[in-house]
Amino acid sequence: MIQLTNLDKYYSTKFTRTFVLKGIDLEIKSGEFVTIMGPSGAGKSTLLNIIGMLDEASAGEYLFMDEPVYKIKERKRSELHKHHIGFVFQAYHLIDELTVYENIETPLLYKGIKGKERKSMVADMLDRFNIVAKKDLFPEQLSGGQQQLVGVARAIVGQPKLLLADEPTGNLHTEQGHIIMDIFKKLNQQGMTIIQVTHSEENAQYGKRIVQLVDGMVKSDDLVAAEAG
Amino acid sequence: MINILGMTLGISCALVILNFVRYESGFDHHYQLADRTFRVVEQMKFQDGVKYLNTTAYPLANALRSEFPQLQYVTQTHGPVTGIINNPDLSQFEPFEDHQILFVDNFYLQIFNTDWLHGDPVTALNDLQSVVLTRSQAYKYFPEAISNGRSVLGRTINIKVPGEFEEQFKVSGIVADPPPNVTFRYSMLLPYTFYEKQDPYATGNWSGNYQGTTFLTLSPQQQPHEIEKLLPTFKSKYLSPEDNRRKSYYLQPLTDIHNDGTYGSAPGSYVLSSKYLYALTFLALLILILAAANFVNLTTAQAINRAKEVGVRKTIGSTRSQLIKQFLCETFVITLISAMLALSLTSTTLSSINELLGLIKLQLSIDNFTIVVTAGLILGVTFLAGLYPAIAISRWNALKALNTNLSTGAHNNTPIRKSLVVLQFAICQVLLGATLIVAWQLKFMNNKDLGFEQQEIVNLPIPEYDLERLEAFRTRLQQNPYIQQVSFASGVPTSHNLKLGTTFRLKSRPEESKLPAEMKVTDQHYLETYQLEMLAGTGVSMAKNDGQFTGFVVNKNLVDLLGLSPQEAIGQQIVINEGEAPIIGVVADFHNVSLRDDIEPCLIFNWYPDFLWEAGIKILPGRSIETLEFIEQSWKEFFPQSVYRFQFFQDYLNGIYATEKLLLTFVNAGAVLAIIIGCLGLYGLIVFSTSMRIKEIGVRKVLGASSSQIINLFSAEYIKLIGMAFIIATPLSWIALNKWLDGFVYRIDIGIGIFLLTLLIMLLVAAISAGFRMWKVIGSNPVNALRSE
Repeated sequence: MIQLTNLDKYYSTKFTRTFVLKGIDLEIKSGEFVTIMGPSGAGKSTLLNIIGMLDEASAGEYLFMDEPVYKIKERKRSELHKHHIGFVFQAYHLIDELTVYENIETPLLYKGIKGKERKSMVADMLDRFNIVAKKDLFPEQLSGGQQQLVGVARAIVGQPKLLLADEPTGNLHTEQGHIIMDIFKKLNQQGMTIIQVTHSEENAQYGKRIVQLVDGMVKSDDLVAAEAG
Repeated sequence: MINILGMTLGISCALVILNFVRYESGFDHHYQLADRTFRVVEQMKFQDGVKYLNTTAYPLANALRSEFPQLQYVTQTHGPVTGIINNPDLSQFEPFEDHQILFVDNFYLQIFNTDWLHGDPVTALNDLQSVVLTRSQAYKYFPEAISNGRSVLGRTINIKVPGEFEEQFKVSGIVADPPPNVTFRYSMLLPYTFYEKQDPYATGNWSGNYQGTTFLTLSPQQQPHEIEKLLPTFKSKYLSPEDNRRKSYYLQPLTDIHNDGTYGSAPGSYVLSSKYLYALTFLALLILILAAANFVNLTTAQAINRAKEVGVRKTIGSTRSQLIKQFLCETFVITLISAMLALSLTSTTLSSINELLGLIKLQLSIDNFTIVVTAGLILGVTFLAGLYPAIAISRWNALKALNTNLSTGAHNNTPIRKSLVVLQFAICQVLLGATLIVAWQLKFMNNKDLGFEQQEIVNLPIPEYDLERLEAFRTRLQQNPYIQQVSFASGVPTSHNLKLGTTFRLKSRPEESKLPAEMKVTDQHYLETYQLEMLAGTGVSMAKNDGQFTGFVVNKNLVDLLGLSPQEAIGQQIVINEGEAPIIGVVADFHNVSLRDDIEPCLIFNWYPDFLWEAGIKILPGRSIETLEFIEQSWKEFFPQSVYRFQFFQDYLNGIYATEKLLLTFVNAGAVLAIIIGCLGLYGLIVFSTSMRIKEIGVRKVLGASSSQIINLFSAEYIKLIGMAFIIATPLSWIALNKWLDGFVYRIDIGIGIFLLTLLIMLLVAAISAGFRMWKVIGSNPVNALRSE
């Protein structure tokens, strides 16, 4: 599904080039649950953003579903976002002016799904995450954990093939974090490819594979022991 | 930056308008006796209404003086008239034309205090052949005397007033130039006694046809109505019974003359109704409010960027009032900078306005008053525009302010800010609508079928009134194949040619049935030159040698008032104040006064050649340039002692609407300014709201929104605001503009179309100013937007 070859990301100032990512080679197959770990500033989020096509690499090759990403036009990218990729953010990034229901509905609107079907899809999500009672509230009226539930619901309502999560539990209590991670695990079992960035060893155990980044380079890439989680 | 720019424009505009309004409303105010001085005006009753005149019979002043010794001063003036000045001392012969020769008596100089530079004010006008020059005229005629003004005293100039006199006058005094905003802006003063001697018939005549301007000054503590009350008895002593029945005298305060259109404009001056001045003041206020609203919007919008600063300041112990003071200070500094810039912009604008409106000889400049007003504006605007943002920003909770980047959103789009934006849009739309309508109405008047030819006609002054000479001149002109018609007349079709206050009636009907009429003295070619349409009868026939009328050509309006058809009217004997004659022709109605007024009854006839003041020359279309040269040559051959001057009739017509043009200039400038300020505000607002919503844009993009979907989302919001402004602005401008248009007899009708057009323009402007900014935000990488810290 994802094939990164010798990928660099750097920022150029007048005299120096600061590398955030350097020579990343990474292949992620459909159905995997990958955790990217590493110390602060190692380039985890940058890597995730590049994979999610929110950011562009400076050099190297990136194939997404066998297609070179650097050639993808704005319109196509927005198509990919709509149909294949879902995002979950540490800061939730819900739209403040919209209710819970509307927030979850938004990606479906952009996908152009008809009213009735949309309604049932959103209802399904609300139901699944036990937030039916909160559907008319605004994000600021929710706790962090609830907001993140909405964030996840919004990310997966469009049934993406790939879910990208940047520190999804970073702002949450342990308890709330577990709920989110359980959901992720279930989604993965149903066939969704998930890539998450996290600091937490415990959360990493929910996945199948851990990629360690240090100073922009892959330090290790191991499978998680089967019995854990 | 946008703050300063918007504020500078707003303040400059207010200053320019304020200067103009002050100038126009300050006419004659600076004379020491202004508050006790009045112009004697006259009302004449007719069957169908009252005619208002600002001139009165010449003997009035003397009569008032002897009947009312309690009056401090009474003065009689004649003019201003146009004359041709030669300086006989100069070896090289070069005549000047002067339009501002005023005949005054010694009382005039007492009422209208003047700075005397040389000569004795008491005796200067005692000698019949003496002249008092203004400084600028003195140096014009005697350029070598610039270093020694006194040397001009005793020198002689030759003054010729065509048709009246040509004499030598000795310079007996030099005065400072009168300030520009006075009713009689004379360039030289001649003794009224000279005019009395020159034309004893006119100056001794109480009938309505010979009129000058009379001013009087009350004694201190005297009330104008005390005198007005005595005037009826007074006039019955002097006027003929018929005149006594029709005419009544009133006193008009000197300081009202320029801003009250009732009695029309004084000879050689103009009137700017206070109505216009109020409108302009309102315009200035509107633009100032616009600029302030814009400022408030931008400041509160930018405040989000300063949230952190506020938070930090609060946590280190700043009190709220300290913060308010800080923000007010900042506003003050911005306003101060804007005001300084505005002052220099104003001074440039004023001088270009002076040039632009050369017609009414403005002399606007920045003076102490302007500076004081600017200081006032700075303080006013600082509080008006600074207080709300200061209070709003300082109110923030310190912790919340520090975390604004996370808790962005809905709260910051407060109703106050939204309504300010709506206010801005509404003002823009009102001004835009006004501009369009004023321009449209002016265009309408220019293009309207006036009932006569106006293209390719050149008008020249005629300095000598001798029939044979005129005929010779005509023959000479007609040698040129491009000249189609030549006519000599008292004036062009669209003017009060002879404002003599004449009346007409059928001879068969009683004296009381008489009505006011307007007279045009012409030759037999007038109707063809201006292509007036004949309905019945024949054209103008020449008067007998002794000035006896041989017949009147009248307009349809006059015939209608008599209750006759054009055919029935032919042959009917008409009596006017000056004599009687049968109607020999009827022409279709044409605009014989001004488009602003109704068509009046009009008499066209031939009389003494002394009334043929102007030539109208119709040139073959497209040939005017080469023909003009020929006309000038011929004219100079015939009248070598006079100053050649010509005007296209079309240009003259445009000049009639000077006040409307003036208004248009201001409204145009105002609208452009309003739109610029509005755009700045809009741009600022969009910068703000997009920066507030950058995160949202990022999220939406990540969720798969296309750029056009995001643009739609944002546009909807602005369209809503503009729509609200439209709903507010339309009825207001509808009412105001209809009221203004009601002042015109021939006017356009305002449909909804013009307002829809303003709406469209507003949307377009919004789209352009918003589009650029939005594109930049949308085009950027969403990851920048989503970075939380």
